[in-house]
Amino acid sequence: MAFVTMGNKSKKELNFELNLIPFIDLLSTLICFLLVTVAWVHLGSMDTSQAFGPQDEKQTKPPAVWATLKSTGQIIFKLQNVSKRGNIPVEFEVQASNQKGIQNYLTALTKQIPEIKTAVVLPSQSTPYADIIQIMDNLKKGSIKDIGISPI
Amino acid sequence: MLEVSVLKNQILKNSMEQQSALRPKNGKKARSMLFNLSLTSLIDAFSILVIFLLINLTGSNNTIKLDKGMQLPTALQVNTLQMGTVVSVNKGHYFIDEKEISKDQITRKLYEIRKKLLADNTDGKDNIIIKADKKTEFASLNPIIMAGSQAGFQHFKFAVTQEATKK
Repeated sequence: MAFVTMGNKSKKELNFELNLIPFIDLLSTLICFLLVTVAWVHLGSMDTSQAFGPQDEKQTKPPAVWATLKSTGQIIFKLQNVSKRGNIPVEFEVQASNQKGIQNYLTALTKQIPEIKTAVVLPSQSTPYADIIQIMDNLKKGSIKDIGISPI
Repeated sequence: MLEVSVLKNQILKNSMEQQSALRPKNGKKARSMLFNLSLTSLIDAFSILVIFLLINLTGSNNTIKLDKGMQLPTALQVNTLQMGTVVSVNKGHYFIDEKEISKDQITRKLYEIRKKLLADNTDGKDNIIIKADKKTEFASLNPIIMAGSQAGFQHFKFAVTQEATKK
């Protein structure tokens, strides 16, 4: 404790204790408000464009990969407008549940044919929405950012 | 504040210790009931919690209302949810901005909305946000995509739940 000597008569304390109770009240209220209003589930969006539409005849078609989702649970990847494809097959069939196989194929594809930046997803009528999103997610993981979806 | 507290003069006396034959402590040693609660660490913890919650609060500038029982699919590579016209499908019923609409009327309604958005030059005038349960079949989503294209919308954004990053 520090004191200031005022002659010999009185001593005045310089230290003072800050009243922390209002701070705690304020912070508690703020925490309660934030806990109630904060969004715990983070929503996002998977962006696509419609794959087929009016197109200029002279417009060059970019190299692309088409992913056809069969109602039997198979996915067929097909290369389009690709000149040099290395040892990547033009067509590759895989089960939709085989996530590792899909990822390996897409990794090899984007590594050997880096000019592929476009993909088209062709779902069947009975394809669940979750499967469409999953294949789009896999394509985006493989650096294919321009994804289109084909209506039935 | 604590210096003038009435607790300062209160003495904690244990009656057993006072009566002890071996080491009687009657009047010799007594503990004060006054203890100095350190509030600084409590305020530190509260402040960290507030900062964490504030960071969590600042996310996308657009939110969508999820219907009861609707589960969105999860994805890792997602974009931030932007402004747009929300079209949802739930058990075969179609909704545009939470208002139910028949399947045949989707194109007309979307065309009107698009026209209004273009006139107002509103953000997200080209965006359609599609909201559906993860088990919904594509046959139910197809009319929305077709109607959106016919109405002139260019970007289709599928609403998804962001998956936690796997390490």
